[in-house]
Amino acid sequence: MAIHPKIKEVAVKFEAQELHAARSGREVMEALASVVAGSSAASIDDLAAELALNAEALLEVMPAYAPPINVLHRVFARLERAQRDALPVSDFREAIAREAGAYRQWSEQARSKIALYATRVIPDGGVVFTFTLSETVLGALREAARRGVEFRVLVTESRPNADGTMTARSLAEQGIRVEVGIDAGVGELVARADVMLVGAEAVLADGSAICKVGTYPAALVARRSGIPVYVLVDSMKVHSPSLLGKLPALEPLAAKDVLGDGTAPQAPVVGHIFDCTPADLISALVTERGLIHPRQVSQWMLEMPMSESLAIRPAGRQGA
Amino acid sequence: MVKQADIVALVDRVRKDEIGGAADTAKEVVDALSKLVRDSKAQDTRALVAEVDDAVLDIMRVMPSLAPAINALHRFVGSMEQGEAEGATVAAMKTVLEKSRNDFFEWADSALGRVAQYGAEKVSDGDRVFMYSMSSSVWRILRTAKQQGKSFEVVVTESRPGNEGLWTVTEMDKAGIPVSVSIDACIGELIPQCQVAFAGADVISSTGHALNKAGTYPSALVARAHGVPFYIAADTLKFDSATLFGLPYRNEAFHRKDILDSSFPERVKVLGHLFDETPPDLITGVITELGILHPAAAYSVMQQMKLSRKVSEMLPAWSKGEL
Repeated sequence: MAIHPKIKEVAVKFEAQELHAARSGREVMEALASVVAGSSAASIDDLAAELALNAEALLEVMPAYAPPINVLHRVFARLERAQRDALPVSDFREAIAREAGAYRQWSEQARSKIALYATRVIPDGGVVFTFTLSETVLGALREAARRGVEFRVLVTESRPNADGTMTARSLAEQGIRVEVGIDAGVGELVARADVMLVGAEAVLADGSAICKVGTYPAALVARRSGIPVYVLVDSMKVHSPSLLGKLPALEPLAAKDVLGDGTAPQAPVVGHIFDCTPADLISALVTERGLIHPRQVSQWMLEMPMSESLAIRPAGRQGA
Repeated sequence: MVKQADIVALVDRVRKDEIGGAADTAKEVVDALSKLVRDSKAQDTRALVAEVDDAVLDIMRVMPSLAPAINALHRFVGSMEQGEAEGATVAAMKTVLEKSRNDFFEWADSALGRVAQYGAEKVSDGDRVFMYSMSSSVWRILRTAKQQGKSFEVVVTESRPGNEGLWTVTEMDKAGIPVSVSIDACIGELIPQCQVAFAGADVISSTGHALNKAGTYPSALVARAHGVPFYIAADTLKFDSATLFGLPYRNEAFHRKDILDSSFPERVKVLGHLFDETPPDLITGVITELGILHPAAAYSVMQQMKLSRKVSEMLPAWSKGEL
């Protein structure tokens, strides 16, 4: 029994912060399916032990993203049912392979539906403010441009990784007009926009959204300026453990991100790379199931399969 | 008329932005003008006034949007206009202007001390204090609070693109005040953890809006959302009377090279200014040498300011850079 190479691969990507939230759900699903497919376990209980070992390796390094933790719950809830029913290993293997396939298909469809719905909230001739880099938001902006909506995009750097400049580069390559400011400039930039579109790493049970740090002040400016804030998330972004009071622990800023080049005066560095935008600042979540009030997510959480073993596991850094 | 060397040197320093802060610029302006008056060989009042007028025009032509320096000019030229109205002789005028200079320096020294004194009252023992960017007025407040024996810590963010927040780190370090630092995007997390927040201001407008380093306005919004008092430290020289007449402040856009390297295609544009405007309803109080005022009191403050007719007449063209 060992850590599967696919799991190791995903863990390395998590540590290098190379995975964004939506993709990490897909990759964890694939990796867990590979563990099950490649396992030589003779009994469902042996397979359960092997899966638990592999899950631990992921939980150690997983950031505050909802999709991968929901995937773990989904797989482990099924596993627990299989154990209870003393299902043959082969039946469980088949079920997980089907689950992985269904997840791939669902993920694809969710992306295109969100893009379509988001297109409808971008006014023709309008100005869109977006924060940082979001695969979901980029998809929606591409779709809007493809459908002939005229708009331009404002984005800020999004320190520490300057992810916002990557958004600018990507949009410019697709011929979408884009302007870049500094994060401290949100007071000016957001007020110039007609609509604010952002992605999220997770939506909590109270409807608040965990997003790249700086999203919350930008949303405050939007509220003050009467600009609607849409958070584009598929339904796997709802952080189901938060319903049980297990909140994701946020990644702290690294000292090198603030005092980078060594010439800066030395001081303790405070702050995290994500912040929390409360539900009352969010006009709607744009999901594959439609535009919903953020507080509605607790209903979805109740519908989601929850693993008993994960639910009682002490909260790790990802609050799993 | 030969240009006086000190005025030429001052104009050059202002143009090259070699003077540290707005208050120092104000002092240098008043000093150079009073020296011009002292050394003047003018035979009559009219000639002396002409020399000063000429120098003031030269200074205004290069003066950026520094309310203190403009207000200092108002005071000095205003005294001269009063002297003229009273028919002062050259000797009497020289006395008037020497007194105006000395009054200004005396005022400036005591004003900064009072701002520090009143502001320090808003820092309590055990506080975590948020400060945005850098401001010598806020530094003075914090040093005064420290001298009063209060124990507190300071949180500051970088303040891109100039990173003036890191100057605050150095300054607090020198004063023995514990300080921690973060990025500007973290204000949403950090300000709610603080008991009080301070920022300086470059300009207070007649309607009580505070123009300060970009990021101040979002900080004030966060502070308001979490019930953290948000103070602006600004002596009354920062109150910009030009705004009373509807003139805009000058606000520079930041440079492309500040955020994008050469790998970005030209069609990616940059957008934004170095300063933003915090509306009065987000400001708990403006800490001035007169006391801690509601920002709406800006009009009353301006009513009491000595305004020069000549300087006022220059402002419309000056604000467009067309003087």
